[in-house]
Formats: sequence, structure tokens, C-alpha cells
Amino acid sequence: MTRALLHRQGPLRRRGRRVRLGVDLRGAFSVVATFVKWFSLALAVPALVALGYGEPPWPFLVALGAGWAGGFVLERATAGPSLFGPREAFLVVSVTWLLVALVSALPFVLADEPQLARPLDAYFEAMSGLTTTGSSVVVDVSELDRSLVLWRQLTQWLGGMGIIVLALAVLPRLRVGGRQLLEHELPGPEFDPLASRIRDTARRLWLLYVALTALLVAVLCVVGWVGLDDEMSPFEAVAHAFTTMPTGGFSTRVRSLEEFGAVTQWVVTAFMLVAGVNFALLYRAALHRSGRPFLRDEELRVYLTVAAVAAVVLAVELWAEGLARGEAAVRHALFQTVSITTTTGFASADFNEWTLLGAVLLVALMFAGGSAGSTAGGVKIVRHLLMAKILRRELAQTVHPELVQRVRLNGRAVDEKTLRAVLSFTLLYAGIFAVGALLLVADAARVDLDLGALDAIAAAATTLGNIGPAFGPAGPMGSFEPFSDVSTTILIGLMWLGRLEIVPVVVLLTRSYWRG
Amino acid sequence: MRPALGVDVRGALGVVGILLRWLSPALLVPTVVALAYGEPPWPFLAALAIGLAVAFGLERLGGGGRRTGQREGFLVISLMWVAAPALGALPLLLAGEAQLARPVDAYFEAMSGFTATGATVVPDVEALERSLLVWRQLTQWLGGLGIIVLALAVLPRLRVGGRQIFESELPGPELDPIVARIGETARRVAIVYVGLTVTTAALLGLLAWTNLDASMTAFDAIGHALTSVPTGGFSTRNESFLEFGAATQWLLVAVMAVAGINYALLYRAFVRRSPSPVTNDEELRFYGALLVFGSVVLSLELLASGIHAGEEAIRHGAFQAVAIMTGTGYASSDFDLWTPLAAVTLVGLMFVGGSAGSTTGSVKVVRHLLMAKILRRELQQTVHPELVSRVRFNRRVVDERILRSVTSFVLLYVGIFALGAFFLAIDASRADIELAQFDAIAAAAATLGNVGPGFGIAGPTATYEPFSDLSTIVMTGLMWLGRLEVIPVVVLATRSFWRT
Repeated sequence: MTRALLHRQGPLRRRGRRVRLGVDLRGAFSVVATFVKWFSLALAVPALVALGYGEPPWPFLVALGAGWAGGFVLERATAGPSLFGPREAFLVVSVTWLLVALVSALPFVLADEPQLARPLDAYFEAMSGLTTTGSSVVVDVSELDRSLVLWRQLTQWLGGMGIIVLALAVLPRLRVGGRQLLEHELPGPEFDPLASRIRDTARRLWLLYVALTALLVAVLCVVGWVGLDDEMSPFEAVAHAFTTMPTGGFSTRVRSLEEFGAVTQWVVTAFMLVAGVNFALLYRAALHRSGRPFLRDEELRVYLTVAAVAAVVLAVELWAEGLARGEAAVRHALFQTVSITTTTGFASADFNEWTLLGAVLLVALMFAGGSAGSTAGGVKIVRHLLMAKILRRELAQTVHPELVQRVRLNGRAVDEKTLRAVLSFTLLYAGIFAVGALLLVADAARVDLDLGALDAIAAAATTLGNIGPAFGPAGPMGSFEPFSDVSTTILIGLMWLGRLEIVPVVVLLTRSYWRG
Repeated sequence: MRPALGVDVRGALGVVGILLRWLSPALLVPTVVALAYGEPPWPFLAALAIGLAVAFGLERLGGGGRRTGQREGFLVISLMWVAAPALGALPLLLAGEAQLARPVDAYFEAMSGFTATGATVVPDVEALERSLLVWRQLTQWLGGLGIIVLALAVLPRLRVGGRQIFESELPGPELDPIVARIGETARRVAIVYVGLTVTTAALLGLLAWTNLDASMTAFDAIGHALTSVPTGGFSTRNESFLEFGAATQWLLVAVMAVAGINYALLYRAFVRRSPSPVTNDEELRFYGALLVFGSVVLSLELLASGIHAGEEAIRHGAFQAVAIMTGTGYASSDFDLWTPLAAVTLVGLMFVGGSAGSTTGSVKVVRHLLMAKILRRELQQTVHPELVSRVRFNRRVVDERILRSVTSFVLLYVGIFALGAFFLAIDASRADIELAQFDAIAAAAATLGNVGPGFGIAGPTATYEPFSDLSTIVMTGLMWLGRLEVIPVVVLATRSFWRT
């Protein structure tokens, strides 16, 4: 992005004619082009890995070339003066994810891998990677080439970087997302160009993200080296660190984290928990080297409480039903709870085999979400918190109609617009989930797939919330392979919508967006 | 003497007493029927006596019920819908009827009556005595009357419900006791309500008399008129409307559709004879559109899957769509055997409801309409942050507070539904009852939405009898919550309600 970025001053005039659309397509697509171009370079990594393991590198190289070329062509096509403001940002955010997923899917299709040969399945896998969902159509991961596996893991790590920028820098400025009040907001005149502020914030948070990833790699390597876990190797360490920090959930093993030892599972639980915390909070704490930001944050407290309570209930259930004893019960309960709440989606046990109460609890947790400002998906804890406060105020005002009360978060009054946005988001989320679940049920009946109501609900919830595993055939040890093409498309749509926090996409469907 | 609590509990109880005093004489009707058919009348007489005694006792306690302000209003309506089913359950228990011998079941049935839900625990309805059947049907008719008064007069004053802007709102100072207002509205409503009931009974009777429907009898005609107008759904037959002919079913489609319309509008159209503001009503139009949409989807599905053909498919599609959406809950076909898409559509319709100001339950069309407008405004403001736009309904600006209360209601409703569904599923697995997860969802939606039948073990040709006692109690609670539009009950659970 080398051109100057301005705020919209007035109608854009080009050769004396006024642009009819309310959004500058050229400006938007040139930014998209840049993203696609630079993203493609990441394909060099799996290419190198392929060479290292003696696997064919050309699928990655071809994809790299295609992505770079496509981005370049688009850049040239959209060259020229253009504007980039909030409206363009919506389009950029929505379209970038679609196109980048396309580039990511290319190696899957080009490689000689039967499990990912079909374009739609490859696109599903790629979208699942970039949205850090973790749902997979691959039945047996161990049959994939190492380079393909690593690319899969890498897409999630890169997706996580994108999400941090999205959640913490872009969406708040577009007044979407639950944390329009960001404690880390830098003071400065409001007419700073949109892009440079994004860049600033992004840089700091990426640093934190990379540091945490590196730390996890180191810890896991030590675990393997010291002999605490025979299955852990440097490759596994890197691979799983790549999908833990973005709360992604892709694993290199068919049975996810069940194949690893207790120590590994505890380590991953801890890092998943950290990955689900607001990165701005983490940054602040690291900067000031104190734990105070943590203690005072209401969202964090609720986040930890939800995880703790759910874990206790689940542990008791596992113990009572004889599914696990002692330390294992606590470990598996906590692991699954944290995994689902942070929308990571690893599994330390096949929870498809657990009781109905366990299943219902986990499905309910799918609607919780992690903290806003983290890589986690879902509704987000802060929204639930604000909704509870809104409800409480509503009830108080029903009894005392003359009461005028503001909702407060962390001591600060929350803007009414933010509250309305939170409510609208939840309504949209619930509505889209319901429609998604309905369509999955209908489609499953059409193709004679045995999909129970809970399975459909879980499948819709897990993709919209970017969690990963569902129940039934698409359980933690299963895959999304049995779904028909129609269902797969619906699921792709849900993952995409959920990751973008719905509104940027839905806005594209309104008339007022396109009008001048 | 100022009460220590912020609420005049005794005053509220006094009002409940007054209402019970008016309700109890209704038991004379089944008494007469019992005498006419040679069945024992004493369960009804005993219930009447107990009802009157309790009523007098409460009235004495309340001392006239003068201080009925807004807070007492919440308490009154919540208690009323606990007390009325209690009264309603008495004859069912006392009659020595094996199918309703247990208090939990009798109370469930009575609650299903007074909330005009229509869920039943009685597997063999036709084995009940005529007088009991009449009482059962009557509880829904009386409940319906109470519901409309609630919806049109009481709830708007408590600032609940989606239609706080009412064309029928009478001007007046806010301090007027609620009781006086109720009388006025009840009078107007009663005209329309009774008129509809009589018309329906007459038309059904005509079908019976002219033999256009061989299975319809005079008893059935009156019985079903009593439960179709309040969109209740109790039937005097085991197989509900499967027993009756095409003409009857089509008639009911019309009756149910009309019964789901706002009574303020019906009053305007039929009593005041000014139809134009009626047809311009946004909610009415949306309501009509949704009914048509639901009917079309179901009819197409029936045709496509071959379950019914031609006119039958259209008839059953329309009948079920209207029956479920208005929360009536009759069945003209065993929809438990329909396709998954149809099942899912029906459950979806359970969340729609009819118009506000009618006897229907669930979310109600006006709330869906307002939510759509709220969402549209939100999206517009995302694109144009500086935009200040108001939401309009029937061209009038809607107060922001009403919009907030609508969203809060929907959140509470969905939350309570989810909890209910979870609970039913888990309880069923504990009690070893074969309840599919979808059926748990449908049962929770059908009771909270005051619809009636669910799927599976609680399907249209089955009953709620297999559920455990705990589940039955939970579902009784859901019916109660749904009928009162959730908020009046939840408010009772807050601290600020009880404090001065």
C-alpha cells in the first residue's frame, strides 16, 4: 500500500464523471490484491519442507506462482487513484478471506492426495484453516504428505495473525465487534488515516503472537526431549504450536491430542487458555510487567469462571459415569472445556462417546466463545456479559420506568450504540445458526445421511463459532467428509460468516452500502 | 401504613381473590352438563365451593385491592395463572378419572387449558366423561378471554409486549387502578370473542346437521368452537381433526387464522365497521404473509414427498401451518410422519406466533417485524455511522424503550427455551424415556410457545403422558412463562421488584 490513504472528502470525480457506487471498488480490490500477493509467499515454507522430506514441492510452487500472479494482475488492474475508507474495508475483509482461501486450497487440489482431490473439499479445508476453525474433511491425516500437513497447520497460524488484526484493529474502527472501547487505543487525532493505525496495532500484537508461539514450541520440544512424552517431536511441537495459538485445532494426528501424553495435554490446555485472552490485555500486562490488567478486567473474570464451572460439572459427570477417574477426569474435562470455549477444537478424548449431559454442555459452550480481542471465535464473552447487563437494566426499568441507567463495563459507561450492535449481532448469529442447522437437517435427509438433531446443531454451531469438531459422524475423531456438497458449501459459508463477525458480510447485502 | 415491601402483596392477593370469585361460577356449566348426562356433578360443585371460599378468603386478606399499581399488576397476573389452573385441576382430580388421577398431571392439563396451550397427558380423551370434557374445553375458552384482556389491557400498562402503542389505548392518568381499565377492555373484547365462538359453533353445527361431515356432532361443534377461538387446541377426539372431513378442516383454517388477529383490529373491523386501518396494519400483513409462506412450504413438501396428493396436500399444509403458527395445535394429519424438512419448518413456526393482542402465544409477529426493522437500522448505521433514524410501525415512531424490551424479550425467550430443551433431553435420558433430541426441542418450543403438540412421544396423535414428573413440572412452568410473556415472571425474581 504505497498510495496515500485519505478519508472520504466528497464524491470521487474521475474524468469529470461522478462515481455512482457508494464504495470505491478499485480501492478495495487493490488492497485485496496486495494481501493475496503477499500471502502467497507463505507457500514457500511448505515448499521447503517438501524438499526437506523428499516430497513433491511443485503444488506449493504452482500455487505460489498463481497467487502472486493473480494478485499482481489485480493490482495492475486496480492501479490508479482511489479511496480507502470504512466502506471499502468491509469489502476488503469479506473478499480477502474468500480469495486467500482459494490460493490456500490450490496445493490441496494439485497434490496427488485423494482425500483432498475435490475442489470443494479442498476449499473447505482451506477455509477451515484460515478461519482457524479446525473442521476437516480428511478422514486419515496420517496419510497426507508432511508438507501438506504443515501447510494445513500454517494456514491456521496465518489465519490467526489475520484475525488479530481484524478483531483488534479493523473491526472496532468499523464499529463492529464487541470491544469498541479498547483500553489500548492510542491517543491521537481522529483523522489519522485508517491504514497506518491498523499497521501500528497489528505490529505490536503480531510480536506477542509470534513470541507466544515460539514459547509453546520451546516448551513442547523440551517435553519431548526430556522424555515426558514419547510422541512429541520438534515437528509435532511446531505443528501444534501453529494451531494452538490461533485457537485453530488442526492436528497432525487422527485422534487429535488423545495420541499425546498427559503432560502435553496440560501444556496445551494452558496455552489454549492464554490464546483465548484478549491480546490487548496480554500486551498491556507484558508491557507493564504486572498482572493488574488481568484482575480488573470483567470479561476475563467471566471467561475464567465459565471455563472453571463447566470443567467442574464435566469432571463430575465423567467420574460419576465411570468414563474417567481421578486426574484423567479433571484433565479431560478441563481440556475439552477450554478447547471448546476458546474455540480451538483439539480433543484429548472422544467426547462423542460421553453422556448426553456432557454433549449438551459442550454444545452450549460452543455458543460462549472466547474473549474479544483474541483469536477465538464464537459470540465472545464480552457480548454475553453486556447482554446480561442489558437484561438486568431492562428488568430494573420495567419495575422503575423512570429510571435512567447506563451499562458499565470495567467501570466505563458503554455507548448505547455499542449495546445495540451487540444485541443485533446476537440476533443475527442466532438466526444464521438456526437457518444453518435447519438446512443441514433438510439436506441430510435428502442424501440419506444419518444426522441427528444434536449433530446438526453441533455442526452448525461449531462452524459458525469456528470451533472445529461436532458430534455424530463429524465428531472429534471423525470428519466432515460424509456431508453432501450442498452441506459442505453451507458449512463453508458459516465458517466465513462467523470469523468475520457476520456484520461485514451482511452489510454487503444492504442497499445503503452500495449507494452513493 | 406503608408496606415494608415495595409491593402490596396483600392487595395483589385481594385482586386474585376477586378474579377467582368471577371465575369459579364457570364450574356451574359442567355441573349442568353432568346432570344432563347423568354423570356425578359433585366434583364440580366441590371445586366451586373451594374456589369461592378461597376467593373470599383472599379478598378479606387484601382488603379491597385499592393499591393496585404496576408492581402489584405483575404479581397479580403471575399468581392468577397459578391459581386458575389450580382451580381447574380440582374437578379433574376429584372426578376419580384414572388418566388424571395424579396432581402433577391434573395441574399440567389445567395449565394447558388456561394458557390455551393444548398439550395433554390424556391418551384416551374419548373415555373421559362428558362433563369433564366440557370443563376441559371451557378452561381454554376462559383462559383465552383472560389472555386477550391481558394482552390488550394489562401488559401494555406494565410496558410488556410488543404493542405498547395501541390504537385502542384509552387516554387517562397513569394512576388509575388497573382493575377499572380491565372492565372496559374486557367488555369490548368479549363482544368479538363471544361472537367468534358462536359463529364457529354455528358453522360447525351446520356442517354436522347437513351431514357434510358425518363424524361431527353438536357436542363436537361446541367443544371445538370453545378451543379454536382461543387458539387452544384441546379436542374432544383422540385423533384431533384427523377424524373430521375436508370441509371442517378448511373451516378451521379460516377460524384459526382469524383467531390469530389482534382483537383491537377485529373490534374495529366488525363492531365499528371501519376496515381500512385494519388492512393497512403492518403486523396483520406480515402475519398473513407468514401464514401463506408456511402453508406453501409445507404443501410443497407434502406434494414432493408424496405423503399427500393434490387438494389434500394443500389442505394439510395450510391447516398445520396455521394451527402451529397461531399456537392452536390441532392436527389434521399425523405430522410426526412427515419429512424432516416439514418437521423443522413446523418447529420454526412454533417460534413465530400470531399477532399481539390475540390469544396466540410465542414471540408474536409484531416482535419479529420490529426486530427486522431494528436489524435493518443497525446495518444502515454501520454503513452510515452518523445516521439517526427512528424505527416506525404503522407510520408511528416506536419508542426506543419498546425496541429494547422487544430485544430483551427475544433473548430471554430463546434462553429459556434452550434451557428447557436441554433439561428435557437430559431428564429423559436419566428416566430412560426414549426422547429424541429433536423431540425435546419440539416439546420445549411447543410448551413455551403455548402451541400444544410436539413430535415423537409427545406427537400429535400421542400425549405428554410418558414424561417424568420432573419434566412435566418443568413444562408446566414453561407454559406459564410463555403465556405471561416471560418478563412479568422474571421481574418477580429481581431484587428491585421487592424493594421500595
